[in-house]
This record gives sequence, structure tokens and C-alpha cells, in this order.
Amino acid sequence: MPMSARVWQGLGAVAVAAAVSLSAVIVEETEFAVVTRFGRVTQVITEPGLYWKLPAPIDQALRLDKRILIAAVPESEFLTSDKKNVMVGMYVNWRIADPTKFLGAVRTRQAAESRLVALVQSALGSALGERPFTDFVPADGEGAGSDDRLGSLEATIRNRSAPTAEANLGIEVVYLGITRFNFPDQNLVAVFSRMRAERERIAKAYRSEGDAEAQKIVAEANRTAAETVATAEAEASRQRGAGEAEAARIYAEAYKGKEEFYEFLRTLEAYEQVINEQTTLVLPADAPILNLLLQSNRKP
Amino acid sequence: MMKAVPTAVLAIALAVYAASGVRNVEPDETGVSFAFGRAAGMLGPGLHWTWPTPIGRLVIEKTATNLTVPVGYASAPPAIEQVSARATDLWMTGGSSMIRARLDVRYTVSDLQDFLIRGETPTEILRAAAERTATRFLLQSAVDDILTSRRQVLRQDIQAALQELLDRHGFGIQVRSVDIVELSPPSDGEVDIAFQQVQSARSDRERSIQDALAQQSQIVSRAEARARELEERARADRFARVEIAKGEAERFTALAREHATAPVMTERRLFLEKMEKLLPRAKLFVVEPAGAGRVAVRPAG
Repeated sequence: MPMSARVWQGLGAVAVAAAVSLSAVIVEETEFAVVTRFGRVTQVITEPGLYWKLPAPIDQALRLDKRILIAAVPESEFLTSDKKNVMVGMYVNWRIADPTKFLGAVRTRQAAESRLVALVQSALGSALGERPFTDFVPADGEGAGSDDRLGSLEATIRNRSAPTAEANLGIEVVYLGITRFNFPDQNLVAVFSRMRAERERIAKAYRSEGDAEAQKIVAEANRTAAETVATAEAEASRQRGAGEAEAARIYAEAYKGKEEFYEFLRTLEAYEQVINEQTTLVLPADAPILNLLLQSNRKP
Repeated sequence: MMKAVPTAVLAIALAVYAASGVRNVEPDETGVSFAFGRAAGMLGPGLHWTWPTPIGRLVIEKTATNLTVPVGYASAPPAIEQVSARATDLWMTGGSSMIRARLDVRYTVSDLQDFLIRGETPTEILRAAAERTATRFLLQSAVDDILTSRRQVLRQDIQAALQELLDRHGFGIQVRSVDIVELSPPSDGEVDIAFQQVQSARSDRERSIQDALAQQSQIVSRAEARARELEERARADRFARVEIAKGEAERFTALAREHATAPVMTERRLFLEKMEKLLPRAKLFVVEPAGAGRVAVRPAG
């Protein structure tokens, strides 16, 4: 009978090991464990560690992701209130907030994400449709980075989708962000040609600005030059005037007290003007001057 | 004897099991040990013993190296799970323009435990957050600013906002830098050429102004030379005028002195000298005094 006892011992050990492995639940940091008994939730384990349940198939442990998950809201076309088309894509960080509700409502991640994405997308569409394009995209020249337009759009979408997700799906919307805000492809050609026209206008402005500036500089230079020359001419006149005055003073000083002699000399000078090739002198024969002349002629 | 064998086997098995818990963490790595699913702390470089499977596990990752997430383009063919592999690297900017932008977000895992626990795919979350932040900052800025003055600011803004976003949910990621791989006007529809033309127009403007400034200095210096010449000539004239006056005054004074000693003789001499000089020029008629008919003509010369 010792052999039989060994066998029983061995079988007992295996049975214990099987019971342990079927009853032990190791819950990781990254997951929830939901224990169900014949399909009914009996226990939700939210903290990691080693837990016990009745062995399967009585109690089943279902594991759900506790981490923050990411779901893409694919890019789609929307209309703003002023009928501008935009392509907007988003991402949603979400996690299971209420495992029981989650299991009841959607059960799988795939189903959860498609419900969540639809919810966010409709909130996005309605938020975009309520406001004009310029509420989201600042016009050129508006203060850069002054206000967070996309941030407030994100907040609106979140406010409209998060409570529903929480209440209906047991999902917490941790964060949602707009990853893409573009024009649809078919509008790009028009956008590019507008940009090109804009650049051409700026280039033209630069050129004419350059010309105007250059003209202004040259005109100013010409004015400065004219002023310089005029100033110099004035100075030249002053110099000449001073010369005249000084000369006059010198003459006056020299002639002082000898006015009669000066007048005499001046009269002689005046003859220079009076008597020339066109002059005809008619003199009486007894004019003293003739006498003088004849004498002087005769002298040599 | 018969009982000793299984005990020895059990002991050896236990020893082997225990030994399998010894692991080495390399200098550029960090480990996180888990026991019964619970995180039991982070391990630095060195030899460590942790609970082996199935009780525990040790996750080791390289955390010292910089990792890169491309934004606006895919460095490799996108994985299926990738959330938003952009079809294009075109982004909208303020003023409804488009810009081509590609960024590299360089990061390190700063807290491996958070990195492993908090998010399902932290790198995908990082990529999405980076795209979100880039979209937002590009949309807020005018295209000219992005290409010029705000280029560096943009990197810093994106990095700061991205870090703030990641820290909000503790993903254990430290963004080291946001590098610009490409940031340029789109080549579509020759937009980039138009941008270059603006550049060349700008340098044309500079050149026009430089040319004008050169012309300006030429005009001004020419005018100054002319002004100097005018003034110098006037000074010379003044000098000459005064010198002539002095000469004439001296001559007059000399004559006057002579005149003072012999007035009649001097006057006569001067008068005669003048007449001698002048009369040969003129025609001269001499008539008889008191109406006598004869006229003697002495022709001039």
C-alpha cells in the first residue's frame, strides 16, 4: 500500500496546484480584473496584486485595460458656419472609468472606440458648424499666439462628448486634441494660387518701396546740394561785398582832402569814354587845347 | 533514502528557480520589477534579484538614449497601429496659408514605471500630442513669422506645451528637443518660387536704397566741392579788389604829392598825356574863330 499512498499523494498535489492556478488572479498594474460568476459581475479589482476567486469555470476573471488608450478620430471634412470646408482630425485619450458599465455597454475595445469616435466626431461637427472660419484661424496680422482658438474648440468638443461617454459607456475622456486642421485637398489649388498672388503683391510692394525710397534719397541729396551751393554763393557775395567796402574805404582815405585833384583825374578818365574812333571834335582854331596839341605835335 | 531523493530534487529546482531571478541592468537601462502584478520599484544599473515568473517579472528598457518621434512625416513605413500617419506634411497657418513642416521630437523615458503603466502606447500618444501642439502653434502664427522671427520661438513653444500636456497625465516622457527637419513654403503651385521672389524683391529694395545712398554721397560731395570753389574764388576776388584799390590809392597819393608841389604843371602834364593818347583816335575839325569861312581839317590818326 505504500505505492498507492504515493499515487494519492501525487494526485493530491496536482489537484492543489490546479486549484491554485484556477483560483489565483494576478492583476497587473495596467489592468482591471472583473470577476464574474456564471456571467454575473461579482467583483471588480482595480488595484494590482494577487487575488483569489473560486476556480474556473465557476468564477471567470475578465481583464480590461486600465491604461490611457488612444483612439484616432479620422480626418473628415466639416463645414464652418460661413460654409468653409475644413479637414479636421483628432485623437482621444480615454480610459475605462467604470468597468461594469463598460462591459454592459460595449464590452470590447473596438466597439467602445467606434462609439467614442462617433460621439467626438459629431461634437466636433456641431462645434465647427456653429462658428465662422475666422474664429478658428486668425487672419494675417492678427496677434500671433494671443489666444488659443483650437484649445477652446477642443474644450467645447470635450464638454459635449465627455459626459455622454462617461454616462453611457463608462469611459473617461482623459484628453482630446486636434491633430489636423487643414483645407480639403480639392481646395488646396485655390489656396496655393492665393498664396502666390499674395507673395507677388508683397514682392511688388518691396520693389516700389525700394524705388520710392531711392527717389526720396536722391531728391534729398539734390536739395542738400542746392542748399550747399546757395550758401556758398551767399558767402561769395559777402566776400565780394566786403572787398568792395574795403576798397571804397581805401579810396576814400586816399582821396580825402584832395577832392579837387581827384575830380580832375576822374575827368581825365572820363575822356577815355567820351573820345573814341566815332568821336568828331570841332574846335575853334584859337582853342587853347589846339594850341597845346599843336605845340605837343611840334615838339618832337 | 527513498525520501531524500525528491527532497534534493525539490531543493535543486528551488535553487534554479531562485537563480533565474538574477538579472543585470546595463548602464543605459532601467528596470521595473513587478511582483504579483504590483510594481515593486525601479532598478538602476547593476545586478538585481527579482521574483521570477510566474510570481514576478522584470521589464528592462533603454532609458538613457534619446529617442525620436517624427511629426508631419513618417521616417519608416507607418505601422498599422499608428494613429495618424499624415498623408502630407502640409499644415495650415494663420491667415489661411499653408506651410510644409516636418519636426523631430526627441525624448527620453524619464520614468520607466509611468511609461510602462500609464499609457497603452506612450510613443503614439506622444506623436499625437506633438501633432496637436504643432497644429495649434502653426495655426496661431502668420506664415512670415513662422519662416523668420518665430522659427526658434516655435520650437520652444511646441516643446514647452508638449511637455506640459504629457506631464498632465504622467506618461514618464521627457521631451529633450523639438527639431525642425523642414519648415518651408510649399512647393505646390510654385508657391515656394513666389516666396523666393519676395526675398529677391527685398534684396532689390536694399540694393536700390544702397545705390541711391551712393548717388546721394556723390551729389553731396560734388556740391560741396562746387561750394568750396565758389567761396575760394570770391575770397580771391576780394583780395584782388583790395589790392587793386591799395595800388590805385598809392598811385593817386604819389600823384597828389607831386600835384601839391607843382599843381599847374602837373595838371597840364596829365592833361596833355591824356589828350596825346586820346585825340589820335578822334576826327578833328578846326574852325576859324568868329565865323571865318575856312576850315582846316586835320584827319584823325
